[in-house]
Amino acid sequence: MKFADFILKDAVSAELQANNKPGVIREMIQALVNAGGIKKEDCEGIVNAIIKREELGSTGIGRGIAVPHTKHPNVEKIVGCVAVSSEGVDFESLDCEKVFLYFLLISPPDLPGEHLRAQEHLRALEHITRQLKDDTFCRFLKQAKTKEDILMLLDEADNNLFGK
Amino acid sequence: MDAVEKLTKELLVANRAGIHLRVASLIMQTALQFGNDTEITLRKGTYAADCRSILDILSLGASPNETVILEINGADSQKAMDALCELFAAKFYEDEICKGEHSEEQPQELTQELTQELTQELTQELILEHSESEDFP
Repeated sequence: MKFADFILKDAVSAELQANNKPGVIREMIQALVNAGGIKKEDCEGIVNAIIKREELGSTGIGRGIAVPHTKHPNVEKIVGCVAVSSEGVDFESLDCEKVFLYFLLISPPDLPGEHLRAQEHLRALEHITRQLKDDTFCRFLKQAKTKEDILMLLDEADNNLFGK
Repeated sequence: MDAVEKLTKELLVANRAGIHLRVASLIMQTALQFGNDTEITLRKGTYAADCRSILDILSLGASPNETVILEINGADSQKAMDALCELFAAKFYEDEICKGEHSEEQPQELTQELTQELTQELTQELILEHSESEDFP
């Protein structure tokens, strides 16, 4: 799986305005709504589901990275977006450092007999983390000033210019 | 101190959702219980993951019913092997604590307890682990 398979280009943001955890989640979900990735009527439910998931344990995994996510029955295919915060936000990350890079994922719920679909979330996580292990990719992404910068980096990552 | 010993074991990812973020956290949490002189590595195919790095573990993309190779080398090899084998054998406790369809949605009591412990125990070690090599402030 590549970024192009699940990242909605129109929902990518190079400058998050939010300065707190719920705000980041809400802003990214709103970007997905604006881009047509999820329905407006599902917005609040998905925001609440992601916040609830965060209460179980932060998806801020260190190195200035967070992967907030949830599953939602009204999503048929995994969809996600990327956002960068130049100032960083306290996301209650495992290393207690601010988070600058956000990869938000919404997956369909697991259904019996649909193992491949159920594994889309794992495949997306696998691709994201393999790229984020590359310090150059992380640094360039954090320095991105525009949506186009981010999209170019994601495209380059998809073409194996980063990662291991 | 125990003698340095390298141990290897093939483990089945037997839970329903594979090694997702919460499971990776549990593996990391377990690995961090042992000293840095004990190397703990998970391998899947050509990929190797340092079990003290959640990014590494997630990047394996280990799916349900796949096997991974656990390699441990160091003073606490046997204890670390026992602890991680127990975690895999218990399917990362998902069957016991997962009520609904969603593997990430465990009952709050247990998960919050785990999370609090994880956060407290790992914070200092994570900072130390990454302080020398990371570019982020």
